[in-house]
Amino acid sequence: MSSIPDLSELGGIIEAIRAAYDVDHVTYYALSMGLNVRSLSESQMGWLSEGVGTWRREGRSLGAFSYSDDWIGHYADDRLELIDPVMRQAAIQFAPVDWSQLDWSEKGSRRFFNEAYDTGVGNQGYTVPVRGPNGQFAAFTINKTCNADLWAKLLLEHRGDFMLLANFVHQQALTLFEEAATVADRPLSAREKDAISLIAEGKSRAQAAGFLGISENTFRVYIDSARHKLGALNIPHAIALATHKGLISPQ
Amino acid sequence: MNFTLVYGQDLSEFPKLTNQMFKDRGTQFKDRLGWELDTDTEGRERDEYDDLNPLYVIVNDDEGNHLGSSRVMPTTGRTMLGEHFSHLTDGVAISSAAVWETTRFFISDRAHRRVAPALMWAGCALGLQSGVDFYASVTGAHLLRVFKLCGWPPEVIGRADSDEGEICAVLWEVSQELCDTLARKAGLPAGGQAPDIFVPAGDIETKMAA
Repeated sequence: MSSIPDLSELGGIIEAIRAAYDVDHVTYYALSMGLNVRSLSESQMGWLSEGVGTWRREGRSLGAFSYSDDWIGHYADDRLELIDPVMRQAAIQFAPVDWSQLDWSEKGSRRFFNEAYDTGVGNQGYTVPVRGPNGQFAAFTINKTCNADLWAKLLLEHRGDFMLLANFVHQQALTLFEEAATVADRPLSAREKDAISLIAEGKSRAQAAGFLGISENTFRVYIDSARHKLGALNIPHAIALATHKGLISPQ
Repeated sequence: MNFTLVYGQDLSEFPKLTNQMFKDRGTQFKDRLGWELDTDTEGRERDEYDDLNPLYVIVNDDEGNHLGSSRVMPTTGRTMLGEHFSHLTDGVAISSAAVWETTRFFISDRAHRRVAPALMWAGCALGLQSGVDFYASVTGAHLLRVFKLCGWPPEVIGRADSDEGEICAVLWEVSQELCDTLARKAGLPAGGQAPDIFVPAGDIETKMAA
C-alpha cells in the first residue's frame, strides 16, 4: 500500500478533494483506528494548508477537517460526536447519511445545527461511514451551503466517487500505523492479478474480460476489488502499486 | 405493502416482524430447500452474519406481517461470498466500496405477486441512493427465473452443484432504469426515493443537558 509520511499529508488529500468537487468543506474523522490507545495517545494538531483547516490527533481519534478551527476545537474538546445527529447515525449504519434526511426537529438537534452553521459549516452534508477490522470506525463528509436542487444534483453525479474516496482516505490514514498496515494487507487472488496485468498491458476492459472469459461487469468488480485491496485511488495507481510490490511484471 | 429498512441492532423495535422473518427463513431455507442451517426451538434461523449488524430490507403488510426480506452488508467487511463461496468467483474475495452483498433473499408464503419486485426495487433504490454500483450474492439457481420475471436478471459469475442443488454467485447492476422497471412491476411510482432507513428515537435533549 502506498503510504503518507504524516497526518498533515492527509490534509493535502482533503484539500484536493474539496477543490475537485467545489464543495465548502471535506472532513475525515476517525473515532477509532482499531489499534490500542497507547499508539495514538500523543496529542497533536496542525494546519491542513496555510492557515486553513486543521488536522488533529487526540487519544484514539484523528482527523483532518477544512472546518474553522473554532468549530473543530469545540467539537473535539466537548466531545460533540456524542450529540451530533450525523455521527450518531453514521455510527450505526454503513449506508451513507444525507443530512437532509435526518430529523432535525428536536430542540437539541436544531441548536447543534445552528451552532455549526454559525461557524461556517454548510447546510447540506453527506457523510459516508467507513469500517474496518478491530472496530475501526471513521466518517468522511462532504459539506456545502446550497439549495436542495443543487445538492441533489451534486450527489446524483458524484455519490459513487464519495463512497470510493471515503474508503481511500481511511486507507491512507491507516498507513500512518505500521501495525494497522499488516492488518489491512489483504492478498490478491490470481484472478485479480490477471485483471490488473491485462489492463497494464493496455487492453480495454472489454478485451480483458473476453480474454479471461468473464463478463465485463464481473471484470469491473474484480478489478475494483484489486484496487481496493491495494489501497489505490484509481486503476493506474493500482497498476503502479501492484508493479511496485512485484505482484505483476512491469510492461 | 410497506417497507421496513432496519439495522440488526434496531430489530428489537419490530418484535413481531423480526420473529416472523427469522421463522420464515427457517421454513424457507432449512425445511423447504434443505440447507444445513441451525434453527432455535421456535424454528427461527439466524447465522453468524446476523450478528454483524447488517441492514434488513423487509416488505410487510399493514398489520406488520413479514412478506419478504433480504439482508445487506458491505463487501469491505466480512461476506458470505468471500468466506464460503469464493470458488464461485474465480477465487476472488470481492471487496469493494462499490459492491454490497445481499443474502437470504426470499418471499414468504403470505406474499402476493407484487412483493418480489417491490423488495428488489427497495434494494435497487437503496443502492442507487448510496453510490453502490453492484450487489453480489450467492443464490440457488432456482431463483434466477424469479429475478428475471421481476425485471432484474443478475449476471451469473460462477455455478456449482451442491448438496442443496445448483447454486451460483451472481451480480446485479444498480441503475435508475432497472429501478424504474422494478417499480413498474411492483405497481410503485417510477423515480421514487428509496424507503427511509429506520432511525431509533434520539435522546439528544438528555445528552445536551448532561
